[in-house]
Amino acid sequence: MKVPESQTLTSLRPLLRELLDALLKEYEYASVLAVDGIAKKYSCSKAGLASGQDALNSGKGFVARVYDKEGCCEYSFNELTASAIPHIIDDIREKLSPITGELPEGVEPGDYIIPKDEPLFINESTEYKVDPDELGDERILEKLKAIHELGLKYDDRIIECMAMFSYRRFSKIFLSREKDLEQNVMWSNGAVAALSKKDEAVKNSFRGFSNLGGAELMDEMEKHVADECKVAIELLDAVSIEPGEYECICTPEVTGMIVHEAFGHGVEMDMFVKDRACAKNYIGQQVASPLVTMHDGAAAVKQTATYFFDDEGTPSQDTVVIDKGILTGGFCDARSAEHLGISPTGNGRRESYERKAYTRMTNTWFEGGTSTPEEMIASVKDGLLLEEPTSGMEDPKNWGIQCMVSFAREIKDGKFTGRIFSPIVLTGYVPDLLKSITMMSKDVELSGSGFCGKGYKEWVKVSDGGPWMKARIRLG
Amino acid sequence: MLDTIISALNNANIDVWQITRRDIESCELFFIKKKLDLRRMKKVCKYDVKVWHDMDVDGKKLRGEGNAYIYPGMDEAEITAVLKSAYTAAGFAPNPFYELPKPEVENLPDVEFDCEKAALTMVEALYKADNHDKGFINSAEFFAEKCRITLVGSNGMNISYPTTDIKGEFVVQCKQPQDVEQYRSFEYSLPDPDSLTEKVNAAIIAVEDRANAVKSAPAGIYDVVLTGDHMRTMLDYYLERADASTVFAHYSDFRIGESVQGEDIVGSKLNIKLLHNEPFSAEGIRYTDRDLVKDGKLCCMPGQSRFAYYLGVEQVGRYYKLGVDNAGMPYREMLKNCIEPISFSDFQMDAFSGHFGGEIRLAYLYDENGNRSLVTGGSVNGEIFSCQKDIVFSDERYSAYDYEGPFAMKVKGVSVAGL
Repeated sequence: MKVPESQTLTSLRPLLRELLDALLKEYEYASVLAVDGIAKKYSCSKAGLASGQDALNSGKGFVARVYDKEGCCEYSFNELTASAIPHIIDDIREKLSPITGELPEGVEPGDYIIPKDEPLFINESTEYKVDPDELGDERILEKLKAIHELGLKYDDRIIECMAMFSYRRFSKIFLSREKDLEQNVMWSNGAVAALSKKDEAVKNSFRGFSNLGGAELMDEMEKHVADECKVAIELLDAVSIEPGEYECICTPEVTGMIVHEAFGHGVEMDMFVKDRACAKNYIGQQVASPLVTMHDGAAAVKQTATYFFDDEGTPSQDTVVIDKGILTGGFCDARSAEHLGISPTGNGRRESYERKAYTRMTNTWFEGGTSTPEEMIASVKDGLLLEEPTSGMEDPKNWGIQCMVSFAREIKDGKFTGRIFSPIVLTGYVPDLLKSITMMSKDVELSGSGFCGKGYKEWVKVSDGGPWMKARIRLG
Repeated sequence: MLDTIISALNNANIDVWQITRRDIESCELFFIKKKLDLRRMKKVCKYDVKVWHDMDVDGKKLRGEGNAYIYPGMDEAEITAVLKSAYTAAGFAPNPFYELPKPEVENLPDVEFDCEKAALTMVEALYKADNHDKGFINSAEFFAEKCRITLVGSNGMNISYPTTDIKGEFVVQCKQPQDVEQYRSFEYSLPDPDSLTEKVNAAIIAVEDRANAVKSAPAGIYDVVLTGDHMRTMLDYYLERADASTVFAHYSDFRIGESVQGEDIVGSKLNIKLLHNEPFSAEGIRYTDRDLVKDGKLCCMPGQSRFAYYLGVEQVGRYYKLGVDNAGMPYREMLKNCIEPISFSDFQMDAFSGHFGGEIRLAYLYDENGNRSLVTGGSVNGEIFSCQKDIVFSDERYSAYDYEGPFAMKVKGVSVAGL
C-alpha cells in the first residue's frame, strides 16, 4: 500500500503558495519546504514498557529560502497562517538581510549564484505492508515483550534483553517558482540488544533491523534473539587483541560502516567546497581495489534513506562514487553545487525543518563480487572475522580511519578457533584498506537502523552496507 | 494554545499530565573561511504533552506514560484526538506505579539576549584570533538561541523560565608542512568573547603542531594526561553508572554510600558535583548543586524520577553538568613520562564495558625530563576499572558549559597502539 499524503500539508497548500508568491515579489529566487511527520518509538526492557512520540523525527514545520543581494538566507518556522505571512516577510527583510552589514572587519558576505529553477513536478509515495497504526500500540508492545522475555530465558548470565521498534511516516512539499514536489515516505526500525555481565563489566550484543515500509519488519526480529544472547555470553570471555595488521573478513554491517564512515563522509562535496576533503585531489585516480564499486543514492535502493527529492527540491538519484576502484566523484547539496559549478545530486538533507541542509549520505554501499562467505572464511590462514559495528568517525581531510566493532572471531587455517577479541578499533589509512580488498561476496545487504551525524550533530537517517569483504586492516 | 490543550485534556478525561511549551528564537550563521555563506533564523513554538494512565490490575496499582507533540495550527478536535491516542497507548505500557516529583511554582523574568547581536559578538571573537602565520580558520558555525520554557502540570506545577545559549563549532587548518585540520566546538549561556578567542588561539597552535607531527607514539603502556572535553567525557562513566535507571535495571552496581572506584584506591578519591545551567529539570524538579560522589562514595542517583521512586532514593532530576573538586599536582609537573592527547578523531567512554579511547590526531609525548615531542596516529585504549584507582588531578581549573573542575587528569597504565 502507498503511504498517504498529509492532510495537514494538503490543507496548507494555498497558504504555502501565498507565502511563496509574496517572497517572489521581493526576491529573484524563493522556495518553501513544508514537512509533516510522525515518529513513534516503542521498547521493552527491565526498565519497563515504553511508547511515545520521537521528538527528533516528529513535527510539522516550514523553511523559506531566499536569495537577497548578499546571498542565501533561510527562515524556519512552524506556524503558517495568513496573518503570519507578513511577519515572516518582515523578519527576513528586517532581521536576516541586515546581518551582512554588521560583520566584523575582514569578514564579508560569501559568493553565490542564484539557483536555476527548472520546471519539475513530483508526487510520489513509498509502500508498506503493515501499517504500524493499524497494528496498534498494544500489539506492537506485546511483540516486544515476547522478544524481551525470550531473551531473558536464554541464560542466567543474560541480565537484559531490550527490544525496540520505531517508525517514521513523513510528508514533504517543496514549492518554488517552477517546482511543485510532494512525497510521502515511511521507514521502520527495530533492534534487539542482549546484555551479559561479569564482575563490573557489562557486555552488549546488538542487532538492528530496518526497512522502507512498516511494521512487517517485526516478524524478522524474534528469529535473531537467541543469536544475540549467544554472542553476549561469548563476549564475557573475550580478550584484548594484540595491535597489528590482520587479514580480516568483514560482515556486510562492518563493510557498511567502512563504506560510510571511512570513505562516504570524505566524498560529501560540501567538504570539497571548504577544502576539508582530500578526495577532491583523487578524482579519476585509483583509490580502491578494482573489485570496489561504490554507490550512494536515495533513488538507488529501497531502504531507510530512500526519498524522491531532497530538502532543497533536487530529485534523488543513484551516484556511482567509485567505479572498479577509480574515484569518479562525490555527491552534493544545492549550495555546494553552486560553489563547485556542478549539478546537485539530491543529497541536501536537513535533520529537521529547524536546521540547515548539508551534503549528506543516503543509502551508501559497495556492489557485490563473486565469492561466498564460506569461501572467504576458508581462504583465511590466520585472521579474523569482524562483527557488529558500534561506532565510527570520519576524517575526510586525512583519510584516517577510526571505526569500532564489538568483537572479532579468530580464524586459523580457514576455521574458527572459538577465541573472541573485544573491543576492536580499526585504524590506518583509508586507501590502504580499500586497495587491500581481495574478495567480495555475491550477496549485498544494507542496514538502516542508525542515524548519521555531521561531526557531532545534524542526525539524519541513512543506510549502508555491501557484501562480505576480505581485506587487510590495522587493528588497535 | 495552552488553554486549548488543557481544555482538550479535560475533555478527554485525562487526569495526570504535564505540558512543556518551548518558544524558541535563533540566529544561525555559517562561514567558509572569512565569508558568510548562509544566514538563518528560526521562530518556533512547540508543545510536548506527557500523559499518565493509571490502572488497577488484580489489586496492583500500575501507571503507563505516553506523550504527544502539539503544534501551532492544530485545532481542539485534532489536539483531543492525539491526546486520546497518547493516553490509550500509555494504557498499553503499564509499569509499577510511581509518584511524580513534587510540583514547583516559579516564574522567572526574561533576560536580555538579542540572538543576532550575540551571534555577531562571537563571530568577531572567533575571527579576532585568526591572525597566525600558518594556521587559520577554515570554517565556522554559530547558533545563538533564546528560549522560554513553560512547564504546567495537573499536579499544580507552574514554572516558566528563560534560557539563552550561544554555541557552535569551528575548524582550523594548517597547510604547511602538511595539510591538516582540527575540529573544536564551543557553548556558552551568554556570549563570552574572550573565552572563545582563547579557545581559537589554542586550536590554531594545536593545528600548527599537528602539521609538524609525523610519527606515532611507539606502542606500549603509558600514563595518559587528559584535558578539557576529554576529561569531561571520562566522567560520563560515573554519571551514567549512577543514573537511577541504570541501577534499577542492574546494569550498574553503584550504591549510595559505597565506593564508585572499587577497593584499594591509591590516587585521588573522587569528589564529583552535579551542577546545572537551567533552574529546573525537564520533569520540573528544582535543580540545586549537589554531591554526586564525595570522597569516592556515591551520594545520590540522578536521572528520571520514576526510577528514583522505584529505588526509594531522592528524586533529584537528570543532570548534564559536572564539577570536580579534586586537585593534587600542578599541570606542568604532570607532564613527565606520559602522553597528552590534544585531539582525537572521537574520544569515547563506554560506561557499560568501561572501555575508553579513540584515535589520536595530535598528542604530546613527554620523556622523563619533560621534553616534548609531537605524535599523531595510533589510538588510546583504556579500561576504567583498573585506571580509576590511581587518578591524579591538576591544581589548575577549567570551566566549560558542562564542566567545572581541574584542567587535567592523569590516568596510569593505559594501552596506546602505534601505527
